Amino acid sequence: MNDTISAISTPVGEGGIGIVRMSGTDVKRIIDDIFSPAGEILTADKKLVYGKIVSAGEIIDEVLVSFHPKPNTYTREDIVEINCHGGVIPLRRILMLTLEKGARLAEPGEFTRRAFENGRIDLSQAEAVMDLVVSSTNLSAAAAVRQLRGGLKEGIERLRSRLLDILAEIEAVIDYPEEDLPAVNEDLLPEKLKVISREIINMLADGERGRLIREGAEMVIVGLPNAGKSSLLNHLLQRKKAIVSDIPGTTRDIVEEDFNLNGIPVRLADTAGIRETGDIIEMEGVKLARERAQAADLILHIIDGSKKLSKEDVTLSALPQKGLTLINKNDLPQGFSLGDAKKFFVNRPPLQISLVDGKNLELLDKMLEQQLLGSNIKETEPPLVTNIRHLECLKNANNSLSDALSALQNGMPYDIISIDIKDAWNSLGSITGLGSPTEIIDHIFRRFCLGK
Amino acid sequence: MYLAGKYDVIVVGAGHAGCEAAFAAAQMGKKTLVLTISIDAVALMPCNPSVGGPAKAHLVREIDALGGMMAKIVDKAAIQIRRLNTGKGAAVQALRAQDDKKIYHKEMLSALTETKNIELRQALVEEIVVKDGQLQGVVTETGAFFCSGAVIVTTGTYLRGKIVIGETQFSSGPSGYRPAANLTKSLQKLGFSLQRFKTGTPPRIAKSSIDFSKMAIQRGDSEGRGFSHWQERIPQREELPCYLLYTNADTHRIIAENVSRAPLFSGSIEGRGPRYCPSVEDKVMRFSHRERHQVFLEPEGWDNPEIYVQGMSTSMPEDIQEKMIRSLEGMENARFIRPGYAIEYDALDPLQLKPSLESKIINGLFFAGQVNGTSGYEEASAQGLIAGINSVLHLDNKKPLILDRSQAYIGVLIDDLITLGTAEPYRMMTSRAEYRLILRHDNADIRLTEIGYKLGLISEGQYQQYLSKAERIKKAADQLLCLEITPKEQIITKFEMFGAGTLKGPISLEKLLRRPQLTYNHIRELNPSLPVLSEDEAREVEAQIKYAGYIQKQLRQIEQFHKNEKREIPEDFNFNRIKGLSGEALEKLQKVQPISLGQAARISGVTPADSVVLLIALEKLGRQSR
Repeated sequence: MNDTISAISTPVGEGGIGIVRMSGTDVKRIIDDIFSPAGEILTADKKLVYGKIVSAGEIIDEVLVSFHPKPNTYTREDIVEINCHGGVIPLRRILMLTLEKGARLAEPGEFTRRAFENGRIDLSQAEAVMDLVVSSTNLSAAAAVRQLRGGLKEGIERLRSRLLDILAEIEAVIDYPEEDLPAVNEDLLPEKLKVISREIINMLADGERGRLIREGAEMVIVGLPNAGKSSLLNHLLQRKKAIVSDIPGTTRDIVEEDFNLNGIPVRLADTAGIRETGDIIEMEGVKLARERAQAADLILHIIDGSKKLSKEDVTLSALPQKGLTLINKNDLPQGFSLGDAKKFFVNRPPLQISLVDGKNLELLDKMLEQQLLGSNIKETEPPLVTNIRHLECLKNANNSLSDALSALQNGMPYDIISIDIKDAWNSLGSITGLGSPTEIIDHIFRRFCLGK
Repeated sequence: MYLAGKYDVIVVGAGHAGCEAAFAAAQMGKKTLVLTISIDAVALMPCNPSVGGPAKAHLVREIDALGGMMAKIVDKAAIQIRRLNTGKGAAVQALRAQDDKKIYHKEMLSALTETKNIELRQALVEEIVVKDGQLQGVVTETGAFFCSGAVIVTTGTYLRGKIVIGETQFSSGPSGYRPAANLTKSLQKLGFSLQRFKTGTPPRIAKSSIDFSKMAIQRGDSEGRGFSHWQERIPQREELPCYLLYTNADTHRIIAENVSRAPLFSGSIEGRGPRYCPSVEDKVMRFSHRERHQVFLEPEGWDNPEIYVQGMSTSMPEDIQEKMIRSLEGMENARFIRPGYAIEYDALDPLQLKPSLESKIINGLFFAGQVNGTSGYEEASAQGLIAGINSVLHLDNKKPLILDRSQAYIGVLIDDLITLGTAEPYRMMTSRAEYRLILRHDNADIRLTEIGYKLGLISEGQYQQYLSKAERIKKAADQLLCLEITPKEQIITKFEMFGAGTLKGPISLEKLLRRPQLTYNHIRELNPSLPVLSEDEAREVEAQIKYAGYIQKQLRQIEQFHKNEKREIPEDFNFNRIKGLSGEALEKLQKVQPISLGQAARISGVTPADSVVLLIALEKLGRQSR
């Protein structure tokens, strides 16, 4: 059977249900690794099983999963389908998680291609399939090239050419051991590889920014009951959605809303107030809120500034995500000073606001955007890497470089290290679509004077 | 014209490709005729007296593993053998031999004449005879018609050969032998297209006129290890050293001042030369920042007054050549025996060949060696062997032997030639092999001997030798996996001497062998119950264990690779009828006529989308025929 491929198989719409579909040898192993069923365990009977997708203890989404063993499937291979309801962000995370666990991102039309290759589609469908696959392959190729915006192509080519230099040096020494060539400088090699790796990591970080712009960010409002969460939600949405009242614990379910923050789609979730409580319904809500906060890109931690700092707020301040600590009710006498708050809230900078008289609310919007995009990046510069395939290739390239570095550390010989470097070089090449099998040899002869 | 004889296979040319082709065909039971321009030019080494080096040595080992001749003759004629790349990993280590050219020729000649089924004859072939599309045989310049069902053309650099030395030009084969002036016309008439290639050689200098005292000596270091799998050590003989010296500012000045007289730059050479063997004028002009270039002095044999000046290949006028050579330290009084020269010759566009090396136009007509656009003795021999084998399989109506890129450098070589073609003489390099780690110098027999045995080229004795080697390797590897060592005092003392870290708890021998400083024999010292292995065998075990992760990775890639190689394209497949191919892909596919989807995908100009179109068309065809 084939290696395992994975893709989001329904058109991605905002807030819609999406499916991550995998096909191939390892689907069962991968799903067992990331899926924790709530009750029934996943069996080969194609039933939908309810549970959670979990990564390193963090819950990514609640899902319905079905396992379809071969051969009576679309591709005639084992198939797993993960139905997610949490929108585009968890969908994407789940896809990335399957890739991390060993699946490969499916080529355009690859499920159909496999169905065809494995004899699933009959002859009369062949022509139609051909048109479909060819047009999708060509289209996606064109799209991929279009997505090579701005400096990305140059950036990748610059890294490729540095790797090519290193490869040519190694390969020349291997193929011409008796020539008067400069020896490969083994002391410099790790540093050279590390520099390239760092640049790839930067591109990947930049890619994360691109992802936010393309697919949106998940933002969660947390705080104690009655700190002003729902008012904040209403302010951000500019309309009333949640019931706003003075009775603590009104928001028991999670209220979600999409909005646009200066061009960035944001899904905002208001959680039940977090406080130890005896109310069973509310306990559920609090649990949900905690889980939700852990999965978010951004946290808005709202505090009632008119009171002393509570134990729960201290706990919440330890959540590691970016975001803001909003000290609300600045129109009332304050329970602690801004200076103290600044010393205390290190993960998320504090800002004193008042949702009653509107103090600092404009500043809040600006700071939010800054938090989302990273303040160190100029606003005019669009993100370079937005294509998930490109991200995947960059990740592969970086993994190969790490392999090369550890091979170097373990005293592996050149011909081994060269395998990893070549892999990294090829991964980068598949982004720009450049490169030919003779490129290394051509480069060797351009750079070095060789031969009898 | 008269009928001079009937044969199964006729080999045109008795160079490195021709000899291997003839041996293979004869050993596989076919009555084989070898025609050569001169009996004295059998297995001639017209360029350097050296065989092997990375990738090239791999080819020689593979030829040997399949039952070919080259390695055995190289070992017999070796005046010294060196190990190269010893510090660079198992995949790229290789031997290189300096050989006595006359002994090489003599040994190959007597092997040819002693082999059953081979007839060797001096004759200049002028025509390939084809009647109604059927191959008939060949006709020589004296009107002899030799009839056969298969012909293998191995004309090397003889086809319309032209030697250039400065302003002087004349028709000639290599080393002053006659050229084959008319065969090109016959090939063109049959529909073959040829290209003009060029190569060159340095001057030969009288040994007695050189002062070696100031030069660095280079000796062999293989300790009796040779190329052939079938003898453990080659008999000890007196070794001849080589010498290393450098060009200098004077040499470069002489070249620069006279570059207008260099045929390469004046335009009187039209042929494409290899980047792999540039002439010294080329090196000096293209890499003008280099202050010096290496020059090796290589003796051409024991009882041979000629010294080959490696690094000084040139087609400069003779007077300039003398000045250049005499500018080298220790060569101030150099006496010339032969001048360096460039040679131009006709070579076939290899895209006209099938992977079996049979031509696409004429059934039974094979091409091998330098005529296919390669450079090097090793590349020629490898093709000769495959063409010889496949000529027999063709006569017997059997499927041809096609080695793929994951099996052998020979497979890489032929696949490159017939899939990509070549615009310059092609040299084998390890960088061309994507599965380099699997294609090791040491495991050629493990990879290929089974195939050679089935073809009848490997004797029963050799086969048994191979089987027991494979068995010993497997046994050792298995034992390493299941045995453990506990750090007792005695063991620790021994271990500390290896300088490979410390031993803490019990550890499997396999894990221990992964430490870079340790060899199989180290481990055996700790646990003498492991089998005694030869050097080759121990290295094989070490490679398998030390690089296991990488080997596994390449094996997985090979699995993927085979999927597309196994999707065969029928020989009469009509690419024209497929909808959706790009224009460029269609043109290339029609020209190359790939035999598999994998090969098709390697053609430049065939995009992934084209491969998908092709895949679907093939699948459709397959289902229709089912």
